[in-house]
Amino acid sequence: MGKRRRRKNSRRRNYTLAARKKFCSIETAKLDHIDHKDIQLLSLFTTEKGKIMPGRANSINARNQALISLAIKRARNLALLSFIQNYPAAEELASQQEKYAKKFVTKPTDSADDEKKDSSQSTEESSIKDSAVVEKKDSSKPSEESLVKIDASVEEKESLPSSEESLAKDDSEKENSSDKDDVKESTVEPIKEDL
Amino acid sequence: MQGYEFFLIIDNSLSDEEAADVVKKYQEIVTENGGTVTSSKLWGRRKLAYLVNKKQFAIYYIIYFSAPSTVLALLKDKAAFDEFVLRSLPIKCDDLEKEITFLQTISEDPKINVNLYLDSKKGN
Repeated sequence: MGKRRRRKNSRRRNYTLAARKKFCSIETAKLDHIDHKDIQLLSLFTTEKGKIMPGRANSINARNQALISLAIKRARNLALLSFIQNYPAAEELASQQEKYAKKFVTKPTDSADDEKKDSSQSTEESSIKDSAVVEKKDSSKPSEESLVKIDASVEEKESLPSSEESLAKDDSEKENSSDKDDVKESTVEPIKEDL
Repeated sequence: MQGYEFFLIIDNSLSDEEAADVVKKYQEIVTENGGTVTSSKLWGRRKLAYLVNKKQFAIYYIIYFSAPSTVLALLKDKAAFDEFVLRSLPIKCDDLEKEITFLQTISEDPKINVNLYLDSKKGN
């Protein structure tokens, strides 16, 4: 690898612009004493939400920025300034609470339906009829052809329970899963009686 | 002997005389333990920026004193178990007279430093 040659007219720093000096805005205003009791001055250096702004935003020296941030933190503990402002909006909070409330209400109703079916201890034949009744309501076409299709679909699912694809038949799938639990319980109970 | 600035935030349900009696107990602790109270001032009834103990207004008292540092622990313990004091905060001060004059200027015109700061920006 050879040496890199520097270009003749390479990019050079323009010292006329870089020599412009920055001044601290507090020193130019001649504010000697920054205090935690001076609330209206400190509120200039906070955002709308109540956060402390960085020193470069208002062109403040690092030494004075440390004094300002310390004064704001003291004023917050004295309840002169607030930790948070305008957050969150009241309307947004109410809408979020309604969404979460609906989620927690719907879950226990599904579990209650399962418990009723477990208590009935239906056989396989009756469970197939129950699944047929539910899907009649969903399809809104109570015909004999639908019953034949459902009987075929139930046998396929029992053979291959892992391959459940359609999201529209969630209700039927849940019932099939509950029916399998009934079968397991029926097999277990007579063994206990023998013991 | 270090100078200190001690804030006391007192319940708004008390009257001015009852609030002054609460502050006297803290002044006695300073004088008994080898300190000197320069002044104790009422900053007024103010609206709090957020709720403290479910209350929206409070009385602000400030005590300026110079005492050894062992006094601060006694004052904190007193304020923690006092039912009328919502909050308290001791702060170090090098010049007590400088801050007493600064409190008077702010209480008269709270926008003095704000106008100085904004006018200097307009010039630039």
